[in-house]
Amino acid sequence: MKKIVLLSVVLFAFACNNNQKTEEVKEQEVTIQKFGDENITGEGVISGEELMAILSHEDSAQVKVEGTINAVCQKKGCWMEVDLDENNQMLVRFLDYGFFMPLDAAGTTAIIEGVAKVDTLSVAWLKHQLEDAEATQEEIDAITEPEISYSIEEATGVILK
Amino acid sequence: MKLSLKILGGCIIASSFFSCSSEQKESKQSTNFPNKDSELALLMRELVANTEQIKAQIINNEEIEFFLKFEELHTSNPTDANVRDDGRFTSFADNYIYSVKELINSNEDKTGLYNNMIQACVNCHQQICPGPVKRIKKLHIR
Repeated sequence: MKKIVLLSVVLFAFACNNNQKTEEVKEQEVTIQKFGDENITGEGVISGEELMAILSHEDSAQVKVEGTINAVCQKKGCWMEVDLDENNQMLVRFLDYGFFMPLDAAGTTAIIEGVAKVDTLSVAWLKHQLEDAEATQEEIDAITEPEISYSIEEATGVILK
Repeated sequence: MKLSLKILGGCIIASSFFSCSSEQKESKQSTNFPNKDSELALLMRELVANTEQIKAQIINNEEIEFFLKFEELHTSNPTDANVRDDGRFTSFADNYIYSVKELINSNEDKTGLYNNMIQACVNCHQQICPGPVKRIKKLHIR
């Protein structure tokens, strides 16, 4: 009997302690905002590095990818750039021009769902572009690596958190 | 004994309730257009909705119902205040309005005239605001 009462007290204390933790977590909770597909969830989300690994052997992939927004179109919010890692970013636009991002969303973490693509501009092509633009020989010679660009042209949904 | 078991059960239920609720996050569906829209942007959205309707009416051989505010392209305030400065927008808008009137007034080749109207939209947006070009091209009747 005494053991049961003691156990009850311990469990009750645990519940109270857990309640305090809940309040602490609640203070840290963020209200997430959804755009586009209202059924989008964070389930199955991958990182920017993981996306780049996939696109190293595929031209495109249907993904849900998470990253920090580093720029948003300042006229309408109709595109954004998202960091994939320290050196690479991805251009994101939205399906059918059907939803936009808040103008002040830069710095926010976003989960974006859609078909991600990678395009590679070869060194020869980049040099040719510069030649057409009548760049200096020094500028042309400075091109030594291909330019890789990542994009989701028609994101179906976005979560901001 | 029975009282102790009740207390024990109550504590277990309470602790599981609190531990579950701590993992929940508040979520809300935001407006899809969270920024202040210009008159011209709102007009464009209305035009797109009406154009979708016209497309369906042509495909189904039905009478076309036009959205008659299309001439407000010339007077609605744009997102970019400088858009009319070089005269290109006005010229493209005139072309669009001409193509709409052709579609309204002719009884022949509605599909061709409709596609001319859509191309007038594409021509303008390619030069002035390329963001929605892909969306507009979906309005073509193939």
